[in-house]
Amino acid sequence: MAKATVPPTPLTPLGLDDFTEPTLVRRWARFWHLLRNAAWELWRNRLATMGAVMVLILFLVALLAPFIARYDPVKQNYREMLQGPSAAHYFGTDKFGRDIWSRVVWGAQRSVIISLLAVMVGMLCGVPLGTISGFYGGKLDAVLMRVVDAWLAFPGILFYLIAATIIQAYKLSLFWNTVGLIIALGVAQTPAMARLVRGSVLAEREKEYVEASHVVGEGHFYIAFRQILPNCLSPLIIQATISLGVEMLVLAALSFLGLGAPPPTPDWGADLNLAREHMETLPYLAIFPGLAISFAVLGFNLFGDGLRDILDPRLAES
Amino acid sequence: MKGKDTDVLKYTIYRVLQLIPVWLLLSMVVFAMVHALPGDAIDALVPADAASNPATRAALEKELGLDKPIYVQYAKWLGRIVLHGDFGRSITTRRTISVEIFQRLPATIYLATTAVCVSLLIAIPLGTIAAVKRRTAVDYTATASSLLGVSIPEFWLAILCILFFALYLGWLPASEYYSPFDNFRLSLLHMVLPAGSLGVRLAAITTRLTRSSMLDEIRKEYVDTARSLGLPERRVIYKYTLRNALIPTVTIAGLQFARLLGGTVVVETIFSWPGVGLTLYEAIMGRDYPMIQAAILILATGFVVVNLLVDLSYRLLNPRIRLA
Repeated sequence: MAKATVPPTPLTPLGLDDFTEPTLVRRWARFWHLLRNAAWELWRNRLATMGAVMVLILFLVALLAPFIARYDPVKQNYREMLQGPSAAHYFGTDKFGRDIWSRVVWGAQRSVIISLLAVMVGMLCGVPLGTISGFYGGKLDAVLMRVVDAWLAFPGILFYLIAATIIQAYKLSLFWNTVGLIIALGVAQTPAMARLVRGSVLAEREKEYVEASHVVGEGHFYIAFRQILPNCLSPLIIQATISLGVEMLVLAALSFLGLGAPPPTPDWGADLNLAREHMETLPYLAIFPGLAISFAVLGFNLFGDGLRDILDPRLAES
Repeated sequence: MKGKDTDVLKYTIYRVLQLIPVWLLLSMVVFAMVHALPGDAIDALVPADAASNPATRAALEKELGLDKPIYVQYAKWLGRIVLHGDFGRSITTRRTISVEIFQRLPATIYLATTAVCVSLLIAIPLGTIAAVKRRTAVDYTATASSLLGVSIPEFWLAILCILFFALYLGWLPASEYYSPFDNFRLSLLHMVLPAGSLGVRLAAITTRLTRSSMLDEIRKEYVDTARSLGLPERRVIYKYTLRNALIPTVTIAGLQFARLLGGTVVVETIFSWPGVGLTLYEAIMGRDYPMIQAAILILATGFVVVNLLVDLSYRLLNPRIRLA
């Protein structure tokens, strides 16, 4: 691989900026700088680049699903049941004659949407909780963290099973079923997120700039969310990336157990379960959905690992 | 010396007491589940034919205490479980739940233990070699394969294993369970695929941990001292460094065992392994809610208790860690 030789321009010293009112342009310039440096660092880390490319492919496939899926993923075609991979059906067809390639592609969209939204739900609940807990400390922190402890003591998979069983029992439409799954997956992420943010906020609030802001008389809300929180984002971004992969795995496991979407929905886990009936005669049925899951999760893991090396050099070795 | 012992005792008591609210919370979640379902709780808790007859329905409601306020119901439910170990009867099989689950618990524990052993057998050598031969092909291969291992869901790995080893090569059986006390050889043979597919994934996690804790340890001063004293490298690594580096690894193995108590559901389903996980799966499919409640509560209790034991033994064995 040809190595690029020109390093990106170094960050301008921020000392001066700190005394001037941050205008929109200046902020944008700073953000752009950081982004460029991060992209450069990413490029230097081969595994991370590979992860980024895999994640990009996954997102593209999810986004372009209507165009690259060649058949309706739920349309049954009994004249073309259980065919092997061919030019007409790249990945073959299942026992209802549905095109596996189209199902894998639409399944990618479903997986991406659910895990992205679930991680967002987790952050929306966890980040404020962790910030407040870490910023105010004291009794509030003690109580919140005990709750988080108790929550984390609950084995995740059992929580998911309870939630999915309840959702299943309501026999909801596909849309509301998906919403339910997203909330369950997201809520389960909340304590870990809260714990993570609280830890960094706790370390950050002792710093001088926070003291200075208190002296100047800034509001608590402003200090906590606008000044401290942006400095705690690195571990959060890493965690969120890795969580995306974890959510995908959990979603696949739940669908595999029949606790995901109602049947005709294209879903990697559910398709994998369906494939078990024909393992002896048509093993490819079980190959492609599983490959898709592993591809996606590996992408997020590689990318998350790379991000950790870039954003948090202290942890790079571990 | 005496002061330290009382500290340890105090800490142990503190942690055991801490378990109580956690467990209560857990039981509340499990209890609340039935009430979060659509329809009346009675429909979830008794067989459909009993619930459809108005007279028996009323009688059953009274017996289960469903006419009382919810906190009374909870207290009664909890009391029956804690005092009598009574989880009620299964809706589908109509057998006593506690008997059914405790009959199946050994199979799950057996599977989880073997899976953790498999993972340690892979992870400790691999992680150690990766750390010792850092930044060589061996290290990169180990790191890459552990990343790959974390990314492959165990149910897909299980299916691939069945495809290859059971169907294609025909070497190993893909289902059925034999107790190790009845027929040890058959029991091991049937254990290979389930424990293997669980263990490989666990090994992926443990390898990375062993590698990084080994790296931490190698950098410490006592290693330099040992080397400067002229001790052979082999001895420095395997006798001194590895022992210290293994403490976190063994802890993780304990935690993994705890997690596997609940995490075997999918693999038990694939291999028709008659453990609590399969019971739970069958109960979910059959909407057997009392059974679901019991299975989840027992698995979660096991998880919490094993976690506690791991934590306590970790601190007892490791005097350097402050009791906080």
